[in-house]
Amino acid sequence: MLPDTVHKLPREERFAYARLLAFMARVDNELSVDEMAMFEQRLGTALLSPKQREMIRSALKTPPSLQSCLENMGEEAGRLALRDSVLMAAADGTVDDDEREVLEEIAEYFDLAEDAVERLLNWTIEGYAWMASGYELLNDISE
Amino acid sequence: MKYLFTDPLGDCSPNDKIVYASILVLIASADGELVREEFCAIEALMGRILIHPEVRVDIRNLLTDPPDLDELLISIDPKVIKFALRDATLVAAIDGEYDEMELALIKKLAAAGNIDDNTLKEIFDWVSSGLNWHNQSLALLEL
Repeated sequence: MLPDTVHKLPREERFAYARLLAFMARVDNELSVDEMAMFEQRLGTALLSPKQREMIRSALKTPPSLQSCLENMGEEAGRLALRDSVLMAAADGTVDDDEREVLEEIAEYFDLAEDAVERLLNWTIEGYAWMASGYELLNDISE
Repeated sequence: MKYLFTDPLGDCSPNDKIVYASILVLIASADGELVREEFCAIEALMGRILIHPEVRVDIRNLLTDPPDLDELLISIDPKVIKFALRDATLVAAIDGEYDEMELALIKKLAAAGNIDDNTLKEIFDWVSSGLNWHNQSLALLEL
């Protein structure tokens, strides 16, 4: 929902980016409302065609392999996909071991720094705090 | 924390979701120029509250024929106005500056929601800190 560069990527890479998020959503074999909301939010940012969105939504039911998602992304798409995979993994409030392992695999595939996932997780926590301060502000208005 | 990146707005009625999204469309088209970033933001916000894909098509069509704010305010649950104000402010900021028309609509929304100037300033500050937070990710990823 914030200004981003995902929409500037070539369409094929945006599609691969979205497939990776579908893969991430199903890593723990559960799809919570929080994860679905994050998935749909990021899908919206990718500005895919309606047909591509349908394909991505069906990828939620039958997730693609991690390798097939990664090999269609360039460097920029891969970095943005890792960041948004971290958001996806954390969307239900916890990042479990399986999710952490996949995140590390993605970071390694794109040759990112060893602490990249850790730093993105910290950034995600800051994002939660920002969102929470938005709710608190709106709650104060209601009082 | 109950809500992470989802929102209590996701629990409101389908009609309120439509009116909320219509307000975002109105804000995005207020300056007569719809940039891709604004479109992405609206798509992401519609995705985040899980508006049905077919309903999103109708909302997108409003971009060419924006609705009237007074009419929208009549049909919206007053509790939803504050969410619309928060996210309209976010959409208005996406292209880097607040246009006069956008500001006029934001002030009208604030008045409809009985939100005072100090609180409105806090919302602007909240948007600003969110943009900073998001930009940190691009720096972190060296993009």
